Amino acid sequence: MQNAKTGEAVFEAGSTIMEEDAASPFVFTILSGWAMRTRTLENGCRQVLNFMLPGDLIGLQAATIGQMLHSVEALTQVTACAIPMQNFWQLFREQEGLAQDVAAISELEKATMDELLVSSGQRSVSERICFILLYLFERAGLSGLVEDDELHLPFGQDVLADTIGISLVHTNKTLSKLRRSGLFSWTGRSFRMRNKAAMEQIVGQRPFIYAGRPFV
Amino acid sequence: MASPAVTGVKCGECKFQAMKCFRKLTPSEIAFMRSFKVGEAQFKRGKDILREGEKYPEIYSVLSGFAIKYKTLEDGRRQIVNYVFPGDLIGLQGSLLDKMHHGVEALSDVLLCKLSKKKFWDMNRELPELGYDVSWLAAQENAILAEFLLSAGQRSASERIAYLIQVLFERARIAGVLKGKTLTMPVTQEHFADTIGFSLVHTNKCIARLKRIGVFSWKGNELVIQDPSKLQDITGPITAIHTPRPFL
Repeated sequence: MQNAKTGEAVFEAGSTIMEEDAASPFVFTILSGWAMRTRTLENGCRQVLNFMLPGDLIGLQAATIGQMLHSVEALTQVTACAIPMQNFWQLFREQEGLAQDVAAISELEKATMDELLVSSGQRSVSERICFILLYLFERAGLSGLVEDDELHLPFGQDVLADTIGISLVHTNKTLSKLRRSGLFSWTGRSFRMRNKAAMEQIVGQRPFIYAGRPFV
Repeated sequence: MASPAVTGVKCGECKFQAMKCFRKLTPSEIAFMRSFKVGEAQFKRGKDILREGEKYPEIYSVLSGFAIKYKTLEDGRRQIVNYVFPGDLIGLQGSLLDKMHHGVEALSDVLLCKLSKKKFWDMNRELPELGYDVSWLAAQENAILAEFLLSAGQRSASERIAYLIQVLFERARIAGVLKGKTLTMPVTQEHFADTIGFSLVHTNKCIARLKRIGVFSWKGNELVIQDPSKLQDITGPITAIHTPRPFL
């Protein structure tokens, strides 16, 4: 692995790490920072597909299918370990266990997207908001980003609205209602969990977080 | 449960080898597949192939038939997250992760190849190309899930239906199960409703409208796209699905 990476790449907040339809010369593993995967319709409507945190792998579609089918945008400054595509393929051949880890990472990511699809298809707006916030809280916790129930959430309510597929106005209203009922507070970029049990009750289940996740 | 019926398809004579949208396996890969494949299993229409929450000793490659992948909420609401076509690989979560995080139900009679979980390790070591193929398939499915998320989040009910029909046809075409313009698939309007996340009543209405304006017809199990350009006008072309695709 030491030989495979050429170095670290730094992306500023708001910059595009990978672009839809484009190939990529690198696969990246996020070392620090947050990114999001997005798909945009011709009319400009944007869907946030998932959030990417330290340990997540960017560029598997480019590595396998040959092009990215979504974009990846940095939400904060992101430092990433850059593995040239050629070396990535080499690693697959040489490094025992890597193929297995990449397959497991892919399955984890699909499982998360399945859950987000369940949200969009079946859950109310309150349920969707509670689900995604619970998920991010747990996932960020795994990367050591939660301290005293507080998490720096590097995005605003517009990104949340584009994740749950609800208008910004409706998202805002429901968020206020949930905040008022004491489930969490969210001011500026600071999110504080206040009543996790109640959030889980609204969602009806705990989001799937896999503690044994591999990283490449 | 699965009946032990085995048709005994030999890996060297697998029909996918001869299909134009599939990547052909090399002789050494076929030789490996012979030991990787530990049997076949048949499931009747409507049966659970894999259950959410369970672990499985094998990975499964679909030889024939259709299935749905779904998740259920505590109160019984069901979300179909994807459809399964011949050539697809299922059950990886049941062996790579802690358990299956979705169920798989047979939409038609389904015939599966059972692949040894233990040999999956050997495959990644001895034939990394096949390991890469597994990641290819996962990346492809990831892209389809992204499209369904985009649909559910940003598209109207009619647009979601139009998109779903295009995806089903494109995947059927690649899997070699499209007969001319006709897709014979035991999918119902209830399945559509559970996929796009709208009530059955609203889904029915939108399907009726799309049929009325001549976009597609749907009688019994037979779907026909009558006006592909109209369908594309509604949702744009399908960009997520790629060929040649691998299979195991």
